Amino acid sequence: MSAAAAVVRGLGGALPERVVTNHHLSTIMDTTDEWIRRRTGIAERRHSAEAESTSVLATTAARRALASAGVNSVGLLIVATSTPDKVCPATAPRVAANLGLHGIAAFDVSAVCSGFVYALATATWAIASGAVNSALVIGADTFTRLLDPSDRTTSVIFGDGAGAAYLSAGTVDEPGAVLASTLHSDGDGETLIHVPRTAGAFFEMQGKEVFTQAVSAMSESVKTVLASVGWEAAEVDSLIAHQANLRILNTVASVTGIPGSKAEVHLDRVGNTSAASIPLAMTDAGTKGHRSPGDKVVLTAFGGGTTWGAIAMTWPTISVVDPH
Amino acid sequence: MEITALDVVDAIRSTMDELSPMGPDDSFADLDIDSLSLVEAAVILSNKFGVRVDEFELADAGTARAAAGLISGKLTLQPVS
Repeated sequence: MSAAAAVVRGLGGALPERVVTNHHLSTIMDTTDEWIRRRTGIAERRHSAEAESTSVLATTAARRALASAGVNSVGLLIVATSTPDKVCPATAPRVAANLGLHGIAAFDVSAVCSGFVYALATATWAIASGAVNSALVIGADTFTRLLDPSDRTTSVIFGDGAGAAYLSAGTVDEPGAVLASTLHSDGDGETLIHVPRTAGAFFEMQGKEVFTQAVSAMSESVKTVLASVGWEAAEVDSLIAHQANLRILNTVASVTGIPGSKAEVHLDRVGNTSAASIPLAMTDAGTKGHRSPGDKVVLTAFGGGTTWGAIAMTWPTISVVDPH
Repeated sequence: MEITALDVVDAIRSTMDELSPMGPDDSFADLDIDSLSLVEAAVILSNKFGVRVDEFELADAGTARAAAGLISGKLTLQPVS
């Protein structure tokens, strides 16, 4: 009999209606489409309206993930976000109630851009322990609400959105099985990516240092999970790295030895959506139809905290709805 | 371990398309690159040669040949394992 594993069986994404193009940004700040594309690889991103809060986007993504899996209940719901609807309480109970899932365990994970990897690993542990049989893991952020609208270095990068995965107990042989994970943090880097605790403060990021640390941390994490599952870098079918910057994706591929053509690219259409970026990129890969069940997939992220990690899994047998 | 200018050029060229015309004595400042390119190059060189190289050090070095000297110097300062 095959070993037990948590298996991804559904994916879903949700994006705000409003598309903000590079051209639009060039009319309100000192930047150009060419500069943004060259520095980041981003062409457009979505900005949430007041009614499109983190919980609203998370709920839509979760509904689509449940529909994708063909189920309507779950034992555990985790929302990875650093832009919760309210500082207190958590957003996850609101999302669970929106889905009609009153009474289930529901909590938030705050690991900024690494949030989805943290939450997915946590759900995997919960299922592996036997505490729950199924889980919804949602990455949802409305980062544009934290930004200084006049700061061209952050305004061009971030967008809003949500992505979700449904997992349930199964075996390592099933497509979608989560096979290995590694999570890390270093609080000495807390000011690299943060919102200072002063009235009216905006989000701040030390771009160059983040770039350097992100590449090193994600590359090491990827190597760790590859060693855990015994895969060579060259046999990875899909590298789904946090969609922060196209040049970070390419450099991580280069350092790990995973062919650059295997890196999923979704940031061109949505920018950096923080905790939502990996599940949205997974959903996008699903809608493009270039993944096959059982493909070797590596997820990796680096974010505020600092936090970082990686997950090795196989591509699930699923059909997904295009959130665009 | 002695790192040559060509080692540095090869490491950078292999991953950065926009720097593929770079020669060992071309000034980084004269190449058509932005500041992020030096950050990428620093990350690539750090991983390739196993010592931390920062983008401001590359900017100070100015050329691949000078960068090779910088990296060789860092390597000789490392404790032998």
